[in-house]
Amino acid sequence: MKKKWRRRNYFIKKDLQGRYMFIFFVVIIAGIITFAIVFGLLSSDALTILYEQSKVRVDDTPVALLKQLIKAHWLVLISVGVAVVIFSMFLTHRVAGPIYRFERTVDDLIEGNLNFRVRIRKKDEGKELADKFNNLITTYADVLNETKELSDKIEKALGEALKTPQRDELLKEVMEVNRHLREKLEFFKTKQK
Amino acid sequence: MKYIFYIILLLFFFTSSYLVIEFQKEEPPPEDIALIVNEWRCSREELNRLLETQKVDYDSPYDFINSLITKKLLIQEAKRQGIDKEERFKDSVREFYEQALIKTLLDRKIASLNVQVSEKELNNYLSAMNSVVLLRIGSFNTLVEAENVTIDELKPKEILFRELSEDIQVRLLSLKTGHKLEPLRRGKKYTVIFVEDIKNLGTPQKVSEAERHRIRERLRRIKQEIILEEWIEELRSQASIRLNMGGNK
Repeated sequence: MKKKWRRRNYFIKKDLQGRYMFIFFVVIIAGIITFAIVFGLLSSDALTILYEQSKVRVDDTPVALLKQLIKAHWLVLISVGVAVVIFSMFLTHRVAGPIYRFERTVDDLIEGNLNFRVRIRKKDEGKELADKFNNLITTYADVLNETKELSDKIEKALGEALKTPQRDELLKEVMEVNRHLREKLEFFKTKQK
Repeated sequence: MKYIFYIILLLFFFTSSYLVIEFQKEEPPPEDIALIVNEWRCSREELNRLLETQKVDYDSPYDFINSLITKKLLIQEAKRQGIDKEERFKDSVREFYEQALIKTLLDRKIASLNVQVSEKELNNYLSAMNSVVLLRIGSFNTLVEAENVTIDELKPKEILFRELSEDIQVRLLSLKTGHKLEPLRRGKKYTVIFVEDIKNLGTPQKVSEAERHRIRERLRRIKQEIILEEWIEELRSQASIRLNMGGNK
């Protein structure tokens, strides 16, 4: 049975994913600080009675509950903050994974290898782009294959022409093949050097 | 990886800040502890401070310390029984909170009043105590009615000055014959008092200096109460008050 291919490295693009994980973490910190300020402002008129270490304390609510607030916020930061960082790693991996695959495929293309295709997981982003990109590679590969075949034909025809007296016929045939070749190459729109 | 490092750095910063606050030494060092009652520890400094503030109420420091120990034990026991979580206790705290607030406000208001009873006022009062006042009195449902009333609409009444309520006595002292008091709110009604005449029944009794001082203090207290009443009335007049009893009568 063929083993199912799985991408196990969830931290594949460290810089990109790390940046977003850090942003999410900072947003959590900003949320916590904003909550503390809003709570402090809204409860500034309230009075709180606390019994701590056998002492009764009566103080303005933000001051009286400062220690408890800090503790609660620290717990939120540790639990929710870290959970959000881990969650954002998985979330950004859905984008970072395809980007990584695209980069690998483009590297192969630069090397002249058109045999690779971008493979995107079920839940990853950029499936449409990957499909179009793969179609592009397939189209280019087909054109190049046909170009190779036509080139082979030209080479064969030229070889024949050197051996036979009916060169005019063969040269016409070579010109016809070359015309097809040009037609194939016309598919690519490039700037003339 | 630098971002992961930043996250770890922030976590470390917040954790260490929290730990510093959480484990700040609030309890005094063992050598400074003067009194321990179960989990409660009191430093020498705190005990001295408590002794200093409470010393007038106790014969000796030991009496105070004994009372403090009993107080702490009772508080701890009440806490152990969960009394502080009971609704009745919370109601008591609410009641105490309101009373303490009102008391502080009134104490401040009284302290801000510079109420004096002049020699003339005192003499007038002593002289009036031996007189009969001819009044015209009327009660009205609204302040407007009370303010617009004519003298003829009021009922005449002859009464000994000393039989009037203390606040009316003081109010009348500053009133000349033929004038009326500002309407006084009495429960749901407004009372208007018009002074027709004051008849002296004889020369006032001689009173000692100590008695004069006592009466002066009483008059001063009554005047303070009148000012407070007027101030509260002013607060009422400025406030937005609505009463909706629903189906109740």
